[in-house]
Amino acid sequence: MSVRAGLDRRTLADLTERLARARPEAIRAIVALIDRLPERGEADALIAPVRPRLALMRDVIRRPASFGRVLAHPFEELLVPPDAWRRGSLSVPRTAMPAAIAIAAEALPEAARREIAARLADATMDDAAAIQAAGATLWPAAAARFGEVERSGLPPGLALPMRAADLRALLGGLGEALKVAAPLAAILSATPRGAVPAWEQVERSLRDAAAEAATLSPECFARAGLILMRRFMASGPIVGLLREAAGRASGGGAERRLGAALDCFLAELPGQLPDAAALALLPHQVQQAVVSDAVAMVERAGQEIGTWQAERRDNLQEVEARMAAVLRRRVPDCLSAELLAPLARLHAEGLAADGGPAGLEGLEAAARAAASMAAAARRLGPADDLALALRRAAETVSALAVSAPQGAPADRPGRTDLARLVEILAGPDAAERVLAPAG
Amino acid sequence: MPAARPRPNDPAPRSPAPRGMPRARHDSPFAPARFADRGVVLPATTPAFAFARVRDGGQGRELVLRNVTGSRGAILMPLAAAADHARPTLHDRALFADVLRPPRIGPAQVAAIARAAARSGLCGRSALAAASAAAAAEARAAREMMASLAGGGAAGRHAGMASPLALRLAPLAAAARRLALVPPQLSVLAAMAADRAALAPSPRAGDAAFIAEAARATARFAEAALGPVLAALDDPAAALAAAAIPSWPAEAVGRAAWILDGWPLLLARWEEAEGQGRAAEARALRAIAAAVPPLPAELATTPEEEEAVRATWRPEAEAGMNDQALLERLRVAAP
Repeated sequence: MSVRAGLDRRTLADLTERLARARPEAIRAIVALIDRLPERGEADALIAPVRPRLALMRDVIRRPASFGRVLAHPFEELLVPPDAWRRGSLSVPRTAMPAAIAIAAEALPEAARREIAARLADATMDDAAAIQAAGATLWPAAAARFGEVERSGLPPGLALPMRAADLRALLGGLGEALKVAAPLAAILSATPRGAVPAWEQVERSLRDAAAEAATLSPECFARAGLILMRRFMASGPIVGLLREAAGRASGGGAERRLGAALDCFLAELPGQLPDAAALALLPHQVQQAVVSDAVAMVERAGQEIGTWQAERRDNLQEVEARMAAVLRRRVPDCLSAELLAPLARLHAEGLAADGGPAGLEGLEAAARAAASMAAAARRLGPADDLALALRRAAETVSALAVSAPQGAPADRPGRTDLARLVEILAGPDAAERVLAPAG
Repeated sequence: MPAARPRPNDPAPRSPAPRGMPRARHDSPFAPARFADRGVVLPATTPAFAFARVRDGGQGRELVLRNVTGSRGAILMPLAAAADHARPTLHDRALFADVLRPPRIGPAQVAAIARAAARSGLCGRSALAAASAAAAAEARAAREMMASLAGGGAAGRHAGMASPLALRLAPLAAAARRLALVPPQLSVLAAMAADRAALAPSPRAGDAAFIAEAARATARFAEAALGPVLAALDDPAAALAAAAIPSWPAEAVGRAAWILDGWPLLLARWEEAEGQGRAAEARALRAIAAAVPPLPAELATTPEEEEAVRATWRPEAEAGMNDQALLERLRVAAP
């Protein structure tokens, strides 16, 4: 019962194309608009190309709660873009979700469905209590129904996004993950994305959830393990914690399946990392945060794997190289196009040319992002080239200071402003020399 | 279990107060006896010196930092040697150099120094603009107060002698009005924090609850200090009459400035994070909880007030445990 969105192909393609290059504020507005539609129909396709960016901006965009989002909340970390999914992976392509939502909805009596809808009206996905309350009915029913579907076949009349056998297997996997939905959802709600939670604050609840999943079944444990690895890899020794839980479970099944989860995590890690083009479109502060979290995750994964299995290291090295390459493209671009070029213009034409003193703050944000990303690259391996790029940029800024007025005058970038940029790029000692040149 | 080794340098008291209820100790920066022991919060921009406090202590003018491990104790260092601890930003270099100068250091001196540093542009253009705007607003408020006092004085009996008194009273009255803006903001912060603490079980709920309690207690003390001054200022003639006592209202306004010291920075930290998603809010709550300025025991005269003062003392990570003790316990626990 899909409602036609009333958009012809050309308009849709044009909109999609423009959205892909839109600034974050525009994306936020459009996503909010689409989220308010009762039937998303083809409008959903508009969001698809920006989903990777949405994922990077998830701290900025609050999405309203809905039946589908609550269903997916415990296993959201399992969802991957359809082209990144490979048969046999523990992850689930996003394209399976409409079918999963339809089946889960059918599994509930009409009254329960209405009650959930009433509970979620006006709630956002930040509202942990509303999600838990709705999930308490939804998750067990969906888990049971998904298991049934895997064993006895799909209900008739379902639009299939993939081979029926694959879909059945995927739904079975989701059913397994949903067996520990409540503890997973509680953990995920208490540790918002966009920040790396401190290990000591999540350790106990992680341990409990892992132990519970290990007693249920190896399949459930593998999926819960993958979810927790994706979310908490940067926080602390999550793999060690899962191994302990697997070791305590009877039989070797849990431990073997944990190996599969780790392989899956590593194989799909590149898809979880930002690419240079997507980064460039984010606000500088978000770029900085995204990169440092991603690098923390890669670093941590290296330590965790070092304690277990050396063969997986090759896989990780590829990820590290990829991340470093992204930063090697982004940092010089950021320095030249977003810092030095506009600064030269401000220096020549005065602050009125670019939105007054606010223009200078934009430059500082760019400088901060470049310095922080270069530091992140250094954690992955030698990054002398990036250090050199930063130093060169600092020297260019210092050179401008010679002909800049003292202090921070209202109409032009002054020596103090330039010293601040140098401070960000090369540290306070270099900046002090800009303020008080020798001789 | 091996016998506990003697710890000659253990600063913990022999019979520690009940968990989370440290006892006020002379010169303790986190459960202070006097405002002077606590120090004044500096608006430092170096992360290592965030919310650092400056006070006159055993090493002259010294910097007080919370222990990085979050365990019991503080880092004290001579302000002049701050650069040995962490490399200060340009702004902090200027700030520290100026803070070393005045013979006595209190919230008023630090505020003036901080404003001068911000107006130099070393803290960025928006800080410069904000500092200039604040200075202009203060000057305007003092002028208006002066005008209102002159009017009240002319109508009253003190017409002849209004000038010197009004000159002394006007800036203090303007400062009182300015400080009076903070407690309502603290109440809002307290309500927000209490709201966050009540949200689903979150590891940060403890931080939020502590902030709510501390902000409420601080607002109450500040209101109590400012209340009589503000009431008197409603009637300029009466205010001028009261100002015949030299310590009025300087003492009350000064006390309010000490009570509220540091909170505007914390309020700004919250404002920056509020509505930016729960991750940002959680980070802000954590930073604020670690930096809440403790009220000194000298402020309390009744048992209820004593309890309110203690509400601003952050429970230590492990009551009665210093870093060395923590290490030793870990060594015992390790296989």
